[in-house]
Amino acid sequence: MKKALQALNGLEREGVLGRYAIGGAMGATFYVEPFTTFDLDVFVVLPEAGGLVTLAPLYRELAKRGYPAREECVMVEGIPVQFLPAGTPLLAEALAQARDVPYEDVTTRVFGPEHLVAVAVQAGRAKDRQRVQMFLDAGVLDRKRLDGILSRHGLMERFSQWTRSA
Amino acid sequence: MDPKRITVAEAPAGKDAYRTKQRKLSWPDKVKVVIELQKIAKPILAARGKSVTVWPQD
Repeated sequence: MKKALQALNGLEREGVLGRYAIGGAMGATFYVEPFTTFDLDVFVVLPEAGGLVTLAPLYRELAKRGYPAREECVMVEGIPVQFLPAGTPLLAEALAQARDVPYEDVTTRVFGPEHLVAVAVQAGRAKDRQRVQMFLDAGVLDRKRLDGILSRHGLMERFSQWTRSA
Repeated sequence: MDPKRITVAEAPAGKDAYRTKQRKLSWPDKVKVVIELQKIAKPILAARGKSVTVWPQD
């Protein structure tokens, strides 16, 4: 993963990517126990083309650099990376407030734990519910901060339902 | 706790201790665990017709 992170940092430095941060399962793994996942979710700010956010220019640039698209991912140094636009207010906030973290001698960026939980609540799938429970079990959440995020993005009710019956 | 001699009553505590230990690993060490989990899952998913990529080790 180190080489993939170095590649992402290079892409950001060269302006191919805007600010990026890791979310999804690998983002969660930074805070909780490791679990099975096969892709690296990378949230990015993308330039708009005619009012539409498009991944096409990014994919073209990545292909030129030897990173081919495969299904919904791009293979970056052998790792399937899914580039996802931070296209909702919650994701934009999570990206803006993502924290710098070390991976060996490489610095990368990961969503904060409270934002990862809020994104999981918003996604609403069974695996997201399990992930929320992992965060609660791990005791890594700042509940005041989490409550603020959930309230701001209209997610408090679903979170309460999930945790009431957990 | 001897893992070969464990009572049913002791099992949940053992599982919690294991999860806590896993949680405290460094991120690179967690990624090594994820890769091992990928290796285990790959043939199971292949049998269901799903192709996945096991990540290269750093």
